[in-house]
Amino acid sequence: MALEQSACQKCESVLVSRLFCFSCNALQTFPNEVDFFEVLGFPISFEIKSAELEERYQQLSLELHPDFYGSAPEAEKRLSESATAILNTAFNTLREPTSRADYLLHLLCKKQKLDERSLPDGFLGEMFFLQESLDELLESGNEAELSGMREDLNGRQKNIEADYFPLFKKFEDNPEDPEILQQLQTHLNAERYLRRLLDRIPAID
Amino acid sequence: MERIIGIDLGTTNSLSATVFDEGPEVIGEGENAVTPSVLSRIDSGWLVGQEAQERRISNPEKTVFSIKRLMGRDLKELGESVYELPYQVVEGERNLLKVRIGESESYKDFTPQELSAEILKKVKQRAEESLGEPVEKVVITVPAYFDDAQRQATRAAAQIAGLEVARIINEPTAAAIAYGLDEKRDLQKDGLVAVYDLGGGTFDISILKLSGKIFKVIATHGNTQLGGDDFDQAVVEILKSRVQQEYAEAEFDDPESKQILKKAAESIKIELSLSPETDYSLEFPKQGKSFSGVFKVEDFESLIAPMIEQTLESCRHVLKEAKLSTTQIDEVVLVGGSTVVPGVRKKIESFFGRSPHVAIDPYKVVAIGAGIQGHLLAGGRRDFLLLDVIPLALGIETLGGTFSKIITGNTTIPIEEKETFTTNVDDQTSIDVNIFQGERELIKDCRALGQFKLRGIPPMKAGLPLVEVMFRVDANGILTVSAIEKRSGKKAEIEVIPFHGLTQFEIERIMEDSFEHAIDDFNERQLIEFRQTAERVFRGIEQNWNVAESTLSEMERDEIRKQMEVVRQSIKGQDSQVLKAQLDTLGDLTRPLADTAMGRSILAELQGEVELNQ
Repeated sequence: MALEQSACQKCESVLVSRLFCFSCNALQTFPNEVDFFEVLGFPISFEIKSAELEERYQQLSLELHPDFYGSAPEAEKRLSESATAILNTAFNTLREPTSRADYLLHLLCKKQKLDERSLPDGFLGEMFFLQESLDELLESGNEAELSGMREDLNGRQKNIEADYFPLFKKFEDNPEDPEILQQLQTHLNAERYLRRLLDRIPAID
Repeated sequence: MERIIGIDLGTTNSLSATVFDEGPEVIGEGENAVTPSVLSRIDSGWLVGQEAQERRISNPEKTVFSIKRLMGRDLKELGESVYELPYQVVEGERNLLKVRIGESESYKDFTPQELSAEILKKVKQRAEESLGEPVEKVVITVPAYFDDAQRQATRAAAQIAGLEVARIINEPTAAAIAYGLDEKRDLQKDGLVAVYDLGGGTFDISILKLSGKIFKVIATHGNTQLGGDDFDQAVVEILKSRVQQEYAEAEFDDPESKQILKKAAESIKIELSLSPETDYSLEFPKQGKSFSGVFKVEDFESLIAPMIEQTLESCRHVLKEAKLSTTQIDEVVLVGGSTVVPGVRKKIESFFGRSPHVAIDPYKVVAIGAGIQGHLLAGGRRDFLLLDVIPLALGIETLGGTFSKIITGNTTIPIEEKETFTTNVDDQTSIDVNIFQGERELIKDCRALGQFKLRGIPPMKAGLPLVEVMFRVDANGILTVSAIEKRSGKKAEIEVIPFHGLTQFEIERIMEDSFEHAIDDFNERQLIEFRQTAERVFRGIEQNWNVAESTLSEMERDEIRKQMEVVRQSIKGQDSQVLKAQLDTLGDLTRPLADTAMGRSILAELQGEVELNQ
C-alpha cells in the first residue's frame, strides 16, 4: 500500500517519519491519531524486516530522546518527550508479529465489526486438554515435561504467526473480502489463549 | 556548559562523580570521596557521614543508617526488620514512615525524604568544596526495581536538599554506561550484558542490549529489600545465639547492643572476604559482659545461601522476560559492595557459566555512570543514548479488586497510554480511580501508589461521558496523570493523592523549615567540629609541654596558658566563630615552637589539624 508522504513543517522536505525531519533536524508536531507506520516511516503493510525496523527506531531515538533536549525550550522538551513516547509504543507494537497483526487489522477494518471471540474449530477442546495437563504438570513440578509442554505451545504459536503474512497478502489482493479479516481475528484470538498458557509456565534454566 | 554531577545515593555509602577533562571520575579522593549514608542528631541539626558513623555506638538511638530502605515504604511492607533498627520508626498519616528522635515529651519526627536530603546536602557540599564551584543540578541513581513511590521519594529528597534533579537513572544502567563507555574496557562493543547489582539494601538484575550508540535495557527484576544489610542481620542472629549459650540471660534489645552486634557483623563479613575464618570479640559494657569467638567462612556462606538463591531466582525471571538463556549473555558485570563477597561471586559465576567483569571498582561504577549521564544531559556529548524501562506494570483497580494493567512492566520509557473512563449514575460529576503498581493479578498483591479524583465532569446520562485519562511515565520512570472529557472537550481536574509520598505542599514546608534552621545548624555543626579540634590541640600542647619549657620564654608559655583558658571558656559558649578566632590565636602563639627542630614535627601536626578543620 502506498504511503502518503507528508512534508516537514519547517523546511518542507519529504518526511521519512512523521515525527522528525532528517533534512533540517526539526521535531514535528503530530496529531493524536498518527499511525504507527507513519511514526516509523514504513508503508502500511504486515511485511516489515525486523532489522530495518530496529535500525529506524534507533535512528529516531537518537534524534528524539528527551536526553538531548535538556537545555531546549520547555515546549520542545515536551514535544521530544511525547514523540519518544509514541515512538516507543509504535516500535513495541510493530516489532512482534502478533501485536503488529492486531494493530494492522484494526487499522484496516475501521468499519467492519469483527467477532472478537471467534476461535478455530476444535480449538477450545484442545485448549481445555492442554490446560488440564499443564495444571497437573505444575502440581507435580516435572521440569522435563514442563519444558516439553513449553516447546509444544511455542510451536503452535509459531504456526499461527506463520499465517499472518499470507492472510494479509490475500487481503491486499481481495480488499472487498470481509472473511479474510475475520480469519485474522480468529488467529489472533487463538494466539492469545496460547500466550496465556505459556505465561503460566515458570522460568527454568 | 553547566555541570550536572552524578550522585549514587546508596544504602550504606553515597558518592558523586563527574566528567573531568581527563575523563569520568568520582569527586574527591580516597576516603573523602565516600560519604557514609549515616546521620546523627545533635541538638537541632545533623552530623552526616563519617562523623555520624563514629556515633553509631555512643548515640545509637539518635544515629540513623540504611534510610534508603525506608524510602517510599510503609511499616507493613517493612515487616519485622524494622524492629532490628536501633533507632525508632513510627508511622504517620497516609502510612508515611517517620524516624522518631528524642524522648517521649520532646521528640521530633523526620521523614526518610528529609533524612536522605541531609545526606544529599553533605554530598553536595563536599563536591562543591572539591570542585570549587556550586553544584545545582544532579543525576541521582536509584535501584532499577524502585517503584513510583520510591522514585518520587528520592526526587523529593533532592528537592529538599536544594538540588534540581536533571534525571533519575537506574543503578545497573548507570553501571552499564560506565562499562560501555570505558575506553580501556575489554567489553564487546555490541552484545547482551547482564548487570548483577547487590548493594547494601537492594538487589537488581538488568539485561541490556548494547548496539552502536544505544544502551537498551531489555528487562529488569529485583528486590528493594535485599542486600548486604541482610547478610549482617543473619550474622547478628548467630552472634546473639552464641552469646546466649554462655550468658543465658543476655538481652540485646537496647539500641547500644544492637549497634555493637551490627558493627561486629559488618567487620566479620568484611574479614571473611579475605580469609577463611576470623576472630571476633564483643564487649557489652552496660551489661558488663564480654564474649569472643571464631566465625568460619563456611558458616557465613551457608547463612547467605538462601539470599543468594533469591537473587538467582530474579535472574531466572529476568531471562524469561527477555526470552534469553544464560548461554546467550555475552558479559556479566558486577556492581555493588556485596558483590565483593567471594561466596556471592562464586554463585553468580556458576549460574551464568562465565567469570564476571570487575574492571571498574564496584563501589564507584554507579556514580561514574551517573556522572557520564549528567554530562550528556548538560549537552557535553551525544555519542550514546540510554533507553531504560519501567520495572513494574502500572494500572488501576477494576471491579472485584482486580489489577488492570495500563502500562506493562519492562516497557521502554518515556511512554504514554490512554484509558477511557465513564460514569455509573446520571449526572455524576466525579470519578475516583485507584492507581497501583505491580505484576500480580489482584490489587491486594500490588502497591497502592495513590488515588486520583476526576472532577468537573459535565453532568450527563450515566455512561455518556468519555473521560480520557493519560498515564505518562517520563524518562525518570515517574508517573503523571492528566485527563480530558472527550464529549465536551473539557479538561477534567485531576488531583493525585500519593499513598506513600509527600505532597508538594509538604515538601515546601520542610524546605522552609530547613532554611530557618540552616544558620543555626551550620553554627552548631561548626561548634562541634571546633570543640573537637580544641581538645586535640590541648592534648598536643600538654603532651609536648616539656619541649615548650626548654624552648619558649616564661612569658610566651604564660600567654599560651592564658589563651588555653580563654579557649576553654569559649568551648562552653555557643558561638562557633568566636571559638574559631580564639583557636587561631592559640595557633599563632604556639607557632614559635616551630622554630625548634623538636617542636617542628609536633607543631606541624597540631596546626595541620587545625587547618583541616577550618
